[in-house]
Amino acid sequence: MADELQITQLLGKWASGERSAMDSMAPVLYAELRRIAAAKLRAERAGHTLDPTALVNEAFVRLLSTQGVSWQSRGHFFAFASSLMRRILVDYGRRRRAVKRRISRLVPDATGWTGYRSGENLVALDEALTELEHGDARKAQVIEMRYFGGMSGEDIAAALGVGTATVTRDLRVAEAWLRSFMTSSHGVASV
Amino acid sequence: MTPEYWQRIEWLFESALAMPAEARELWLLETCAGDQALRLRVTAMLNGGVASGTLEHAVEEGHSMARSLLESGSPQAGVTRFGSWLVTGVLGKGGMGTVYEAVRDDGSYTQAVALKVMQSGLPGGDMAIRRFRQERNILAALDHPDIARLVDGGEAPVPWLAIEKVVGTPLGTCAVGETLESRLRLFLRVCGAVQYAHSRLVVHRDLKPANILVTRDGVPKLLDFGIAGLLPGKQWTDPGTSLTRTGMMPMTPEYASPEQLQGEPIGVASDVYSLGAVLYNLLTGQPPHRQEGMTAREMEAAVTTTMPSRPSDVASGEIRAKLRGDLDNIVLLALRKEPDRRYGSADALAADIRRHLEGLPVTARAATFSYLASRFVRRHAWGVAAVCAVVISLGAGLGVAARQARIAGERFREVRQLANRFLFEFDDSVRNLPGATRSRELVVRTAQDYLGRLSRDAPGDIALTGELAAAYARLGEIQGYAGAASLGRNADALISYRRSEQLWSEVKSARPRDVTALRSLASVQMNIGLIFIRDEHLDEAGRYYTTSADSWKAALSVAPDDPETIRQAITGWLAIGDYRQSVDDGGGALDAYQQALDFSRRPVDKAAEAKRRNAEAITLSRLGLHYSGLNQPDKARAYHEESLAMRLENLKLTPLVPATRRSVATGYENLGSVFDSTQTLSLGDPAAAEINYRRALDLKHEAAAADPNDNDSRAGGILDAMRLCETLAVVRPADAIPYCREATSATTEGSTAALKEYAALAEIGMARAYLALHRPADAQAAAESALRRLNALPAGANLVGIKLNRVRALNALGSALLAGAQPAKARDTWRAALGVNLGETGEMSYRDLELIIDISGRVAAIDPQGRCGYLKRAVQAQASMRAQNFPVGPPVVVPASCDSK
Repeated sequence: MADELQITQLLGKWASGERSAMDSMAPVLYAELRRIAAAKLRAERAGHTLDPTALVNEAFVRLLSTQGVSWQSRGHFFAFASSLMRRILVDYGRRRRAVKRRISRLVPDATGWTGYRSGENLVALDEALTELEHGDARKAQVIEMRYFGGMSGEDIAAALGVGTATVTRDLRVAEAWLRSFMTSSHGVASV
Repeated sequence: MTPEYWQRIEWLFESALAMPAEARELWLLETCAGDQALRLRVTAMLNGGVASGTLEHAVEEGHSMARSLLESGSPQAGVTRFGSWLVTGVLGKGGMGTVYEAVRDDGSYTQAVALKVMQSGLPGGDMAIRRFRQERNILAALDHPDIARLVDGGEAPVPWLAIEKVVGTPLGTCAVGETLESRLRLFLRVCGAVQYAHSRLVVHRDLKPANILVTRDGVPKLLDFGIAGLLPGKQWTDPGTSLTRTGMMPMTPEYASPEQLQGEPIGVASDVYSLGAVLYNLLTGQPPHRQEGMTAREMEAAVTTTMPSRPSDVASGEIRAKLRGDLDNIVLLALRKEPDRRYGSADALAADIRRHLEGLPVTARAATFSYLASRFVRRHAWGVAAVCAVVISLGAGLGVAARQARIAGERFREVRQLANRFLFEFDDSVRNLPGATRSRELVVRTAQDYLGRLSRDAPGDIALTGELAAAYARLGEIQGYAGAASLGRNADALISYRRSEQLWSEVKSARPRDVTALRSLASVQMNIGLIFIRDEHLDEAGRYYTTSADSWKAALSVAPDDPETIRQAITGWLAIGDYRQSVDDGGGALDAYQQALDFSRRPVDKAAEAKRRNAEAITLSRLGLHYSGLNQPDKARAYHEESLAMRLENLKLTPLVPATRRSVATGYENLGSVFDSTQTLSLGDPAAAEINYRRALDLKHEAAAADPNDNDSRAGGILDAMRLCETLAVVRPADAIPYCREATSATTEGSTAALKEYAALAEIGMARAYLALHRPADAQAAAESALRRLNALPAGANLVGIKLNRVRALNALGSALLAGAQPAKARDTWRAALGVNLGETGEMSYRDLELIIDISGRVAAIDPQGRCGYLKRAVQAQASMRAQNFPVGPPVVVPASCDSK
């Protein structure tokens, strides 16, 4: 387990805008996080499937409270958790996709690949989200919290200090844009 | 995207949303004032329903990834060995961790244990570890025939305990049909075990039928001292484990004492209560206080406040009369709410039951004259019955007479034969039937269960161990084979395969030169590797593939000339090569393919020659593909030519076998691709490509004509037609168009995504052919149709390939628009094409880069304002081509004027 003090410091840095702090924290925190979340996941009752990203978020809260990490605002924390989840999942999705591509390119009829979930759509979402960030960072964050943090509209509103109606509107326009961007090839020229 | 642009999108979207749907389009047309891309974007956003699914797929994918990441993160994943114990299965999961089945794997002897592994990451980890260690200390102190024994324990990688594995059923589940007396005798043994624990100052605290298993020999075994507590006593000095801590709650309140449920200090009396409840269940078939639809909370309330019904009122049948009186009283005395009014010990309870069995007065009942008198009469009646019982049981116990032994032997053989027949003959006959997977699993599991039981009866029977190993391998295949008809349960498959591996290893140590064992071992190890690949554990997969390679070597060294071993080893080496290729270990892959090639060239007898040649041909093709990937088309061509020659040889021998025909077609396709300039780095000889593709197509036409159900050939023909269309599109456009038509016309609504993609590719080819024929309107129509097809493909399909093909379609569309004198539209289309991000992982392929350079050049020529930017992009793309050692065309030059800004 990582030095607690170190984690507190890194989280502080991240909250004050130093995004690279995540690089140092991610592996340590994620290992801890995964242990907690995996325990919860196994305790799941049949027929009552939890949303794993929400589960991770919950595990995160628990992790931070056991680590004695203090936060100036809940908002920072949730933003961090969602952002970290996005990164972890997209990286993972990329790796899976790469593996699938390499193998299926080589052995097109390789058995054992049907039903394999590669991360293509996830990576596409990540790209679309990055594009959205240039246009409207808050909307991108709302999406991040919703889809990678598993947060409800109310939680997002509270975390960002805006009204729920704003979050609903943000989600509506951002989702519509993401859908169209991910499906169409008419991306904006970025020469 | 700039914030300004986004603000515009958002404003347009929200405004349009606020107006009636039919007014939106016109309003957008006016408001967007010629910015077509913007208008299309907002329209698409408003019609989100059409394209819905993509985002949902991504979210679903995120959840699935999160789940698989979390699951793979469990401490036990990957760890299969604790000390000298090898995990072979899962027995159960509890709040504190998982209980596995494991066997000793130090080569000395085989003994199955229940391996309790502490789950890390539990809240209050230190406390959990302490409890876990306490259970170990407690068990170590207990040595009683009716208490499951501690066998071993350790701390790494997480605390674990190996406990004697008990095969049996929970006390009471098989009580029906057993005499009252035998049930009571059994219960007396349980009391004895509990009393023993108490005498070692250990309170079990979770006595219930599930924790008291009865073995086939009728021996009760007390299990799970997981929440056991310690009575105060000088031998236990750890202050953290006193009996007053009551934080540990049993899962079910049905057998827990009132004081336990109320969180009060508990001691011996609590176990006495639980014994009473267990006895209640044993006699009546249900725990005290049980009522239909009762919640746990109501149950708790009942346990702490009301007296249960008398057992004789609850039981059914003739047993009721026997319970009335003594046994009612005994049970109810044990179940008193007040701890100090129950029996003072498990022994006291047992003593009263014993008195009842002997017809003596029990302490649970006030001594009245009529009571004592009735006892006397019944004592003698019972005596007669007891003698009979003993005689009968003796007869059964001594029943290993010669005759019966012979019958047993016959029965053994019969069961074994039946199980094997089910396992292989039956399963083989149904394995290709659609929808048979679940029944197959059931059948195989049953067969495996029978063999497993036989194997326990005959532990030294190595042949039987082998049969069991094969059964587990077959089970793993059914569980893990992720083809269309699979159950797709990797974890289960892994357990089955590992068990199989372990059993085959046993056979191997007993018979080191048993070829079947060595071969099966190698193939099971390979299957485990494949499962790990699917689960993304590439390192683990690599380890198994390496082990499997060693096993193949061992098998071949024992039987260097056995054709079956050689045949299987070739498949093995090919799989190993494919794996290495997939992890970019080109050298290793080549090595494996070479091994496969060497073995495939071993001479065999005449009957096996066709199979041998087929294996050699497949191996040569792999080598050809390998060199294509290394951008060495010359070498690739040599291998493909040799492979094709082999395939043709075989066709001469068996001209009518469809598989042989398909094999030859594949040979032609592979060879064709070496010349096909639309494929990655080729020799660029469209005529040669055409000849080969044409032959493949003809063969598939023949095959399809011979067998209308041969869908493989039909689908394969579409691929060939598409390739012909693409190859000829530019050089002989008029000849290309019929092929393009063939490929597009064969797909329907119900076609697979792959076939639909082929159709789209054929349309791109068609657009290029029409361009070459100077028919821009037809070209435009074809390109637009291709785009529509690509956009309609399901989101789960290979997005990367679709993206690249969309760019190709857009490129063709741009060219068609320009040829049709619509330069502004052409420019916008090409811009859109360049806007598609092809290199998301930073590893753009040759085709990606080639396309970017091509489009950049085209749009630079017609867009003077953006010219410098496009040229620079092309230069960048050429640089990354050089960096990857791809051949680069004439260098693009950026005019000096571009840098002056």
